Order: sequence, then structure tokens, then C-alpha cells
Amino acid sequence: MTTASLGLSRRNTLRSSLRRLPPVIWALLLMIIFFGVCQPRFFSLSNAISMLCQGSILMILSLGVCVVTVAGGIDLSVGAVMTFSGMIMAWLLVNTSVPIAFILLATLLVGIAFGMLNGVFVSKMRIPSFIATLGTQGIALGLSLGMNKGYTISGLPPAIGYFGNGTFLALPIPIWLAVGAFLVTFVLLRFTPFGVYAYAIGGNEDALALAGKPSWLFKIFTFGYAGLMSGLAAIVVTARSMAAQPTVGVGMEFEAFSAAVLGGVFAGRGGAGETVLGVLFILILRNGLNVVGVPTYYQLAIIGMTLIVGMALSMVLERRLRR
Amino acid sequence: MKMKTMIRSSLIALVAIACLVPCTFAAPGGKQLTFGLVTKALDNPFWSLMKDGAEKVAEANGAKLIYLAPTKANNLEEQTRLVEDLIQRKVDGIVLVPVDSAGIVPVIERANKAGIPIALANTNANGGQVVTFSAIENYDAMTIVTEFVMSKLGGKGKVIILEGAPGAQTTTDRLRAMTDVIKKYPGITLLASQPADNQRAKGMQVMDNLLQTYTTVDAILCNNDEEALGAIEALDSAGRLGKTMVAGFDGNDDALNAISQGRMLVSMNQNPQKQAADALQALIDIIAGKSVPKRIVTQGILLTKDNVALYLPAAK
Repeated sequence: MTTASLGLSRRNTLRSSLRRLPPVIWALLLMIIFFGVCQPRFFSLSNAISMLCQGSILMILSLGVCVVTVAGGIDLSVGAVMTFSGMIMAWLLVNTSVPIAFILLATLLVGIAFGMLNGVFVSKMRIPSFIATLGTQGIALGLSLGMNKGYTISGLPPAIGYFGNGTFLALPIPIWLAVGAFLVTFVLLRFTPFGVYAYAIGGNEDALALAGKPSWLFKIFTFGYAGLMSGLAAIVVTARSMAAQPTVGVGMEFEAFSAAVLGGVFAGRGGAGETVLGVLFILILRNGLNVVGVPTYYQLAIIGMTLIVGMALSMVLERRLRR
Repeated sequence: MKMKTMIRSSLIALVAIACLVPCTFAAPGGKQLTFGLVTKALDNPFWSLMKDGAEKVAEANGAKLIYLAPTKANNLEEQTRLVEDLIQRKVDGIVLVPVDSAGIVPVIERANKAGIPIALANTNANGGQVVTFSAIENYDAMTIVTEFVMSKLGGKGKVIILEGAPGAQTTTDRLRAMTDVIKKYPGITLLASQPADNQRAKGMQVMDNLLQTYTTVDAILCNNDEEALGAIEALDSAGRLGKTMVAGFDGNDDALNAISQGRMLVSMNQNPQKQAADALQALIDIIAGKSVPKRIVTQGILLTKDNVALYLPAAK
């Protein structure tokens, strides 16, 4: 009797923990096996590190997007804000003798300022986030192009390269920054009042407002957080190429949003962990296609197809596991 | 029941993978050399011509060529990723056309560190160690194009420059050539000089706006053919094509047709096939232990109504 119930409960916990796993994990595993079989070099440690290092920019941006998405918003400005923060950073590095630490702080602040601005537009002026952030995307991109007449800013001091190409404990700095961003986002969403509010806003904002809670303030913070992440990504992308290209972030918001959604982040649902899975999915797919040697023309189509098949599969699996 | 479906679906997945295995192992391993070619964009036929040139050399040497280009045209971050993935794949060498001469340097240095030789084609980089740089002299070639336009204008008139994608060495060199030549002619007025990012749609959009501002434009000097073709579209829809000369650069098929129809005045065939072929040959030679010149100059050919028939797609 006891043994039987024990076995049953163990099976139940197994099933329920399987149920809790985001469906994207299965697709991820399948893909890893496939690319590994096609090109054994895919499994090398250095490829993994290189992939994660390249992907750190997308990872950081996606974590910002995740927080906004959880709270029921959408942020289309992260790529452009990253570009603009990077342009400001490079300009300050080349044209002033301000200590690097302050310049990095300024870069983050530019990102936060843009994010907060988004937040004010959305929560105070009641502009739909889709439109408000599309507007700031245009502003940030235009300013990036205008401030150096469309030209890349280069000739940065070598010291800044540490944040793009340096290593700490054998791992590149961008990976550490991405891990840091993950931990902060994870804790923020799971264990702080900010997280509780973010999910509540995404779940039912009106109810929250009726309960007399200052949901607008937390909404501004979610966009501010996405801005902060854009600033952090700007530091990585600028330091990695030792230059700030005024179009470097074009299309990044699409990738960041796809990653978050693919991982299973929706309004009121999902979190930092799911985002990481979604990002890994996109990274592995992109890197794998290059390593296997698929021409770039077809890559876009394959990525698009996988996005749709992946989403459809995860919907089906989810429904089945729920039953 | 659920376990059954899971087992069944994983079995299906395994079979699917197993089917794909033979095709990957069928490729001969061992001594075959593998090279990468990374260009600036997918949307300009110029880069496909480079691919054709490199492919011929690869074929002749029994080597494999992987062609990659950023899906977002001229995007530095994406191009950097492509080169890094090739480094990870441990290809035997990379022919690279940098989108940004300064921003590409760190990834060239990473290739240097990994011991993978890099040959630049078409556009130079500001640093890093490369086997060779294979391209035409952009400054000289654009000087010839601009001088040709000046002679047709008789040294007098109003001119607009459409610049290339900012930050590439080719853009800088060609722009310098255009402005240097214009300076020699006091009768020439430069109305405007704006970037059109080497793209046709952008060239059309920029020209649409400039045509609103300037009622008389005698000539438009463009950084490449795609921009020039865009400018021609804009002129055509404004009904002003007959009054304005358009100069391009590259010698793409569409441009050749435009020249033979009298819609475009002049272009420069910069022989992209040969630029890429020479760069790849240099990589093969250096791996074989031969010495390679640090700079390979491709000869450009001025394309006008008089000689365009020789190069038209139908004539090839």
C-alpha cells in the first residue's frame, strides 16, 4: 500500500515536473542532436563559448523585453535604444577624457531614460505600447544616424575592449554580463514586489488599478528596465567591435521579442528562465546553420519556418500535457 | 498512454535524424580544403558575382566554398557573427568583404589568433593581419568616372552626389575622388551630397526628396549602380530623366542595360568575379607555401554607350 502510493506520487511528481518544463526544451534538444550529428565541431567547447558570447547581446536585450512582455506591454525600441546608447558611449570615449566608469554609467542612463520615456508614454499618456515604442525606435535610430552623419564612430581607447573581448575565469566578459543580467531579472521577477506587480499588470491591470495600487509606476519601471538592458547590450556590442555603427541594432527588437515569445513568455506568464531557453533556441539554430554551411539566403526562411513550427508544436504539447 | 506517444514521437525524431546522417557523411572529409566567403549583403547582384568568381576557383582546386552574407544589409554585428561561426568551423581560410573598415578589425584579430588566414576583397580594413587585399583602386577608378561626367558636362553645371554606406573604405575613397575632381572645375556647383547606403530603394527615396528641392540637376554621381538605378527611377517618375546624367559604379547587369538604353551615362566594371577569385587564389597559394603579393589590383573598365554591347548579359 505504502510502496504503491509512493510509486504513484513519484510518477506524479515526474509528470508534473515534465509539465512544468517549457515545451521549447524538446525542440532545443532535438536541434542540438541534429547539428551535432551533422557537424561534430558543433559540440566543441570553443563553439559553445563563441556562440554564447555572440548571443550575449541578444540575451541581454531579450531579458529586458521579457519584463515588459510579462507586464502585458511590447517594446519595439530596444534595438534602436541600444544603438543610440552605444553611439553616445563611443562619442564620449573618443571626444572626452571622462573616466571610463562614468561613461559606462552614462550609457546605462541613456538606456534607462529612453525606457522611462516609453513607460510614461504608455502608462501616463495611455498610448498603446506598440505605437509608443515604435515612435521611440524612430527617434533613437534617427538620432544615432544624425549624430555622426551616418558614419561609424571608431578609434575607441583599447581599455574598453575588455568588455567585449576580455575574459574572466576563462569565460568572455559578455557571457558574464549576460549571466548577471539573467540573475538580476530572475530575482526581480520571482522574489520582489516589482515582479509581483509586473505579473499582476500583465494578468489584469484594471483589477490592480481598482484595488488602488499604483500600477502605472511599476509599468514605467518595466520599460525602464528594458532600457537598462538596452544600455548594457550597448556596452557589449560597442566594445566587441571597438566601434559604434549607427545601424547595428536594426531588427534586433524582432529577434529579442521572438526569443522571449518562443521561450513561452506572454502577458502574465513566463520569466527569465523561459527567455533564456528561447534565446538559446535562436542562437543554436543560427550558429548551427552557419557551422553546417547552409547558405544565408535560406537561413532566414528556415528560421521563420522553425519559429512557426516550434510555436505550433509547443502549443500542441502544452495542451496535451495540461490535460 | 502518454508514455507511448512520447516514445513514438521520439522514435520518429530518431528516424528523421538517422535519415539525414548519410548525406552529411557522404561529403569527403580528409584533405579537401574548405573556405568561407563573407560579403556585405544579399540584395546586390554584385556580391553574387563575387560568389561566382570564388566558386570557380574553389572548383578548380577541389575546394569547398561556404558563402555567407548578412541578411540585414551592411550590418556589422551580423557580419561579425558570420565570420566568428566560420572561425569556429575551422575553415582553412576566409575571403572577407568588410561592411565597416574600422568595426571589422576585432574579428579579423580573432581570426589571426585562431590561425585562420583572411584575404580581403573589394573593401579594405583598418587593421588586423591579412594575406592580401584584392580590389580595384577605388580612388583612381572613380576619378576616371567623374572626369568622364565632367567632360560630358563641359565643366559646367549642377551636380548631386549619392554617397555609399558610411564607414566603408570604398565609400570614403570614391567620395574623395568625386569631390577632388569637382574641385578642379570652378564651373561645377555641388548641390548636395547624401548617403544612399548602396541600396536602390534608398537611392530612389533620397533622389525623390532632392528633386523636390532642386529644379535643375545636370548630373548625379553615385557610389554604386544600385543607387544610380534608384536615382534613375526617381528621375523617370518626375519626368526629368532626359535632362540629367546619371553615373554609377560596379557594372551590374541592370546598369549595363540602362547604359545601352541611354538611361544611365556611365559605370565602372570593377570585375567582382576577379576580385573574389584572386583573393581566394591567394589563400590557396599561401596554404601551399607560395608567396602572395600584399595588394592585388584588379583592372576596372569604364562602361559607356560605346563599349557596353561587349558586356551586356546577352553577349556573355
